[in-house]
Amino acid sequence: MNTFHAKQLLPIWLVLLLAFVYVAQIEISALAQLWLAVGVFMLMLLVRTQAKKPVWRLVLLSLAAFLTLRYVFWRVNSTISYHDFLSFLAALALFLAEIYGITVYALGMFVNVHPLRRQPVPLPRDSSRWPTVDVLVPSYNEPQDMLEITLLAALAMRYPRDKLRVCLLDDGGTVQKRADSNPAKAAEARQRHDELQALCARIGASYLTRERNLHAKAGNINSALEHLDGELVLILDADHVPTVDLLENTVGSFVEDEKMFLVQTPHFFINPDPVERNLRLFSEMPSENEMFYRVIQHGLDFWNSAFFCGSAAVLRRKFLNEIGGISGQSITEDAETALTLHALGYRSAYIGRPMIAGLQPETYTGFVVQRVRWAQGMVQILLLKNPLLQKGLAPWQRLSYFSSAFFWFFAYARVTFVLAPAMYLILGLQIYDATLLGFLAYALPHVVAAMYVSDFLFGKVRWAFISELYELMQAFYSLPGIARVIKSPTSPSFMVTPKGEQLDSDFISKLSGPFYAILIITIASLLFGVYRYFAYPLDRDVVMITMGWELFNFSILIGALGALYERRQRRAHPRMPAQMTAEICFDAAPGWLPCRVDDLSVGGLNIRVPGATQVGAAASGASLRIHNAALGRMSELPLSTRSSVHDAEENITYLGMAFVTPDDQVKSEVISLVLGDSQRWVNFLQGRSDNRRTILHAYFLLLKVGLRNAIGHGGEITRIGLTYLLRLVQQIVLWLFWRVVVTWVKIRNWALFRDAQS
Amino acid sequence: MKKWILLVCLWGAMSATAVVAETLAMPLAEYMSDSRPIDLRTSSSQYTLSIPVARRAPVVKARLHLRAINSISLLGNRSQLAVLLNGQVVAQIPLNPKQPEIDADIDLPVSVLRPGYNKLMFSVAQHYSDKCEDPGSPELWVQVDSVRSVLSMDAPLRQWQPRLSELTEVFDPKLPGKRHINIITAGGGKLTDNELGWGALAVQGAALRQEYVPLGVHYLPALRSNGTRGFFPGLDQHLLAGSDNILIGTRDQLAHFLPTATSRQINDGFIAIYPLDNDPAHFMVVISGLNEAQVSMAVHAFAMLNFPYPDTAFAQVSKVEQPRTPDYSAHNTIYPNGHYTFHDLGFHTRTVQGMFSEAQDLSINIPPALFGKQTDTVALHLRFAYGASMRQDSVLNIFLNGRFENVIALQNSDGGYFRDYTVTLPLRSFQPGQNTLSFIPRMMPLVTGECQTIQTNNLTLTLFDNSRIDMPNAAYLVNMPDLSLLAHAGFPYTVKSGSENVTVYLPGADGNSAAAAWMLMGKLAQTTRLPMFAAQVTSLPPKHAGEWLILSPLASLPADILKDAPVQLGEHARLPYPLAGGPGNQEPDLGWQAQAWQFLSDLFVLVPDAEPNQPVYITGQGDGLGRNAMALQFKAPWGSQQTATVFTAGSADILAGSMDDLIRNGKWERLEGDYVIWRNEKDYIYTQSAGSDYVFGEVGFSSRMAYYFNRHPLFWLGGILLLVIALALLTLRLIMRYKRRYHPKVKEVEGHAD
Repeated sequence: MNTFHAKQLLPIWLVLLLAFVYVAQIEISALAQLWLAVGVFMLMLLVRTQAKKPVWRLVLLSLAAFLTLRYVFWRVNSTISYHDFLSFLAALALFLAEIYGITVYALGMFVNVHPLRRQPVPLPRDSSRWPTVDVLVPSYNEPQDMLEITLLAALAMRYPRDKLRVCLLDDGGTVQKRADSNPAKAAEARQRHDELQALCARIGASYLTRERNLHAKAGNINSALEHLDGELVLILDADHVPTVDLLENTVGSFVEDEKMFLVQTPHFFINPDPVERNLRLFSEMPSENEMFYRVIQHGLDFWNSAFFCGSAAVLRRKFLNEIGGISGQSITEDAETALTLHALGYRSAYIGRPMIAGLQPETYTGFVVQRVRWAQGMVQILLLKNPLLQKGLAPWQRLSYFSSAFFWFFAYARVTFVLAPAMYLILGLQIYDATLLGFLAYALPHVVAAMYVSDFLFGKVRWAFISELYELMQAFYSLPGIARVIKSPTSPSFMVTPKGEQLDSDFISKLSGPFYAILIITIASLLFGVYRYFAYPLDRDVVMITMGWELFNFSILIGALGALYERRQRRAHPRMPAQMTAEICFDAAPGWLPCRVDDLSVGGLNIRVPGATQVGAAASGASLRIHNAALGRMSELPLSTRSSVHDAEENITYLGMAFVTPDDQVKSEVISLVLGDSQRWVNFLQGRSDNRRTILHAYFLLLKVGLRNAIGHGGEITRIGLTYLLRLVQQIVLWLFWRVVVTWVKIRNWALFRDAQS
Repeated sequence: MKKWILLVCLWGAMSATAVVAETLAMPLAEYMSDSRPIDLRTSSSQYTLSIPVARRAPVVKARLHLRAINSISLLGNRSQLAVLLNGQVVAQIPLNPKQPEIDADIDLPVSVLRPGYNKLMFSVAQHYSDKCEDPGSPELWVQVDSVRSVLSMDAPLRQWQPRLSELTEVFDPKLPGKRHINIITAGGGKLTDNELGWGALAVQGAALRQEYVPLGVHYLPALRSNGTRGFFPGLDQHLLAGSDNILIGTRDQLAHFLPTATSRQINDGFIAIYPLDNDPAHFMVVISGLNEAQVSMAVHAFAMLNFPYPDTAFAQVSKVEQPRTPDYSAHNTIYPNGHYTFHDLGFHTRTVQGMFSEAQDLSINIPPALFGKQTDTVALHLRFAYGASMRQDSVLNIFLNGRFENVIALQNSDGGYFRDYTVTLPLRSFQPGQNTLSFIPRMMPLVTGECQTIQTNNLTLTLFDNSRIDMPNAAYLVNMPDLSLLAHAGFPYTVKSGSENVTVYLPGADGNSAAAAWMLMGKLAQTTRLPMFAAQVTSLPPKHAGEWLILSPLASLPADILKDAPVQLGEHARLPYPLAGGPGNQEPDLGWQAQAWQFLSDLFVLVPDAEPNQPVYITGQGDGLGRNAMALQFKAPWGSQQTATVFTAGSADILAGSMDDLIRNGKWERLEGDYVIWRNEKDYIYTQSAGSDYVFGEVGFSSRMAYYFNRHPLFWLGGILLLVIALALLTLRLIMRYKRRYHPKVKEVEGHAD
């Protein structure tokens, strides 16, 4: 690099930046500002048409940043005054929440200024140069069938067998657990230990456990590393089923760059999270994690700050040994390990191809547990490691890590934004001194520009307002969690995220309480707003702005309530759409029939067969001949029929079939077919990305589905309430009845006694 | 000779209109801020007028001719109008419903009238019923006709030998009638620059003592006589009687006119005051010295003597030490970022009582060139207390220059005491120059209604003088030309300390032009209450840059002076005439495309320059001024951001007469724009904005940027885009360098999602 030119460029750049900031703070009349903002926004619309080119991308981001800067200066100089103590406190709280949001927004622009989308580095032709790989699958309480799938898939990865070892790290069957003072628990641990050991022996994996359950997952891994010597380590969560090409696409980076310590790949999920499931958006809306894995991690990768996410990642053993393994003061030991290794000058990479298929938490409770853990862990990193001051990190890495950690304070901002309108509408606190014109001139352009930039950066992977929904879903539980960490940074303990829970029926999440409280406050706030509109005509513009804000909160809350109505999930193995052609041959009717596979899971598949195919009893067998992309050949797999429906109008028979897996080889082949092809995941994600929605469309869709489910939620509450009421009435009636009976008996006895005496 | 005869005749004609302070009959409206009738409503009501009486003109007889009309619904035997003078009842008039028109002559006891401001109060007690009644009933009213009610006062000027400590009584704003003085110098013919300067300061000294009352000026050369006795034995005084005078010159120049004993006393700067020999009710102030420098010093001292010392008829002045005053100084000026207590501004703690108590006024002077942003506010931190048991609709109204601006509700039934009650007023609500903040309480008793005893002693409010006024940060930046700023604040001629950058150029240097210039300078001094002691008055063409005031008859006006003026005068005069029908050229019946383009154009004009109505220019020959005088203001051709203001007329005497009319007859406050024509006729004044504008002020870079961006935000948008593109290009360059350094071997996926 021409360091002379770089040294010249940087001061000039700083001067231009200062000029930019200076121009942004010049005070002008509100009307001039309004027109300026309109002009800037129109420029943004124009520039976006060319934003595929890097320079126009930067211009777009800079114009949005300009509007935000102008808002910040106006906000600081003109909208904060002291009226009374409570108002000032509330105003300050709101201001801090906004500053948080703007900081995250600015950091987001920095991180995503030039995402790096690497092609996988191919392995050398000479396989003798390929490093040895230990695949570690830590487990604690996951069911055996889940572990079997993951282990079989790991063993099926395309990599020389002599250089690959797959290990199950069982923390559920440790010596400590097997010797538990509770006999039932000890027996359970022993059984698990024996079963898993047998499983591993049968399929060709290694079984490892340890003496004591110390330091949770990180301790489990570190303990295993003492017994292993692979040059590279692939870590997979128990439910993260790898595709066959995972190592092919990652190991090459380590061969090419000897300073590479990590290659991270995206976490891809084949089941909806509770929000997606309950709102029934899984197949059309990008998942919540896609924003991170399909955009942000690429941005972090550009700044050499892509961090370890705990699974679906390959690490270089040598560097792990330098720092004593997966290090953890925090409960997100994965990110912390990456930070430590980055600080030592090592490099990371992120390959954006989804090469594992995992499971998201089934219930809202599980979802919250997981997210609170992440929030606490990242806040711990912020407090204990403070990326901004961490020695060894380059300035851009400090900002990147800070951005990743600071993001988790969204809970504070979200709660504040939800409560702020009520502070004014109900309590009359003066939290924001502005006229309608000032709001329209400064605040609205900033908000619109931020939404526009967000849509530009993340629109294919995150619909508008979904961020707000997810943040709201987590905020009420994240906030106390974060508060506990701030109070005592070393105190949070690791909680395993429950997965694979089955939901046998629809029910309301038991964590819905805070949302009801907020709903009551929001509705009250809107009613107070109507009152204020008529009672205080001079404040109408402020009331209108606040009520608009509260209506927005209300619509997000409706979505949240809809998501809190948990829908039943009967499948043990989630099905993913397939759209594959195949042939089927029924045992009862020889001959191969063309068919189309609609969806697949390791348990079974749905196919459609043209024509009136007579299918026998439910247990009738069949064979499926299908191209197995993961193995690169045709697979012939035994099936049994579960259901059959014939559509006479279209002359198609829809069949629900189950895979029959008599042995491990067949099972492995099924797993390869269903979960071994990464291109299927790429296509699935692309399909959802192509389903992009405009901002307004996304808002109204969210409102619609949220309302639909919220009505169901309300119905369920009504049902529960009526049931409770009925039960109460029954108890009262019963009590009254017995009182009457007892009294009658007493009277009768007294009458008999009297008669006897007389 | 003819010239002098003409002068004498003119002077005589004007003297006929000058009131000699004998009998004066003025409608009551002249003692009020407006000429509305005086309405006295409800069962008990008062109205008070201030009647000024000068110590120099004691009243020997005063009669009030009262015209009024009362409601025909009143109960005659229980309704009456009382007239009180300084609290003493001087007349009671029954209010007869059968004879509602009142026409009464009331002799006011002169013993009650005293020098100063006397209160003439009309107090009414009126009822419509013997039994219970509503004291606020609408049929309870009396209306005093303020135009046809006339106060006549005989107030002859007294004769006495004044002292220098009594100059404020000599030049007393309470003296009735039009005031004027004669400036007399010993030189003949054209006035020298020294004489011009002396006359200017002397007039300002007199005008400042007159406070707000306009002061007319005549110039007379000293005429010799051969008398031997009196204070001015050698001075022909027959033209001087009936007016106060100021005689200025060196000892040698004045030796002939003064007694030898007086001349001998002139050993340094000299100020004296003596009665005229032929009119002891009028006086001559003598300002002299051994040489011109001493005379200048003495006249400077005369302008500054505003304290009753020395108590002698004459004084020697050896030194005047004038401190520098900050820019924009004026009486009660408050500056940006300043904090002032009300006490600093001449306000005193006062308690007012009653339902309709009088206003408490605070006078402040705002520097004329302040550029206030929309959000700039002046904060009043009030300390006040009010009584208990007042009705919920009791308020303290805050008026600014007679316009309602804010209000404080006095709602606490237990009374209240506020230490730091903050009220904000937009800076843009204040006018340049003098402003009056009025605090007007309207306090209502809690108990009202029929048959109720109403007590109003609890209706009290005290505004403390340690209340504070805080000025925001603001730049000095203003769009010129603007004659209204000259009228309100003397701007830009009163900016610098002593107006040191001001030159008054009198090409003709004749007596009438000088008188016009002196009257103008006296008026300007009155706006700021400070004399322009460093201003140059000269008959020589301007040599250096500065702010210029030019007064001259048209014939004597150098042609190049008006090069950048909004009008061209001279042989071929080119003058603008406003188009009737409103601004802009509206195209009729635009097609939809033109309408759309018009809409877009209007959209991005944003903060448009105030499009002046494009005038019609007519060029004609000859001098068309006639009886009119003209004032022009424009950017001075000799320096940036400097202003030239020209006053001209067809002749010098028309110029002088017109200036007298301008400062005196309500036209001064109507000055605006950059081109004014007026004439010595009631309400004859016309203004235009015809010339190009320019910006005056020294501001920081930030404020200037803000000012220009406010006016032309479209340019700002373009500038921002250029800056952003430059920043983006440079950022991209840095990013690419980073990429080449840290990701040299990375191949990227093509056609990715974003």
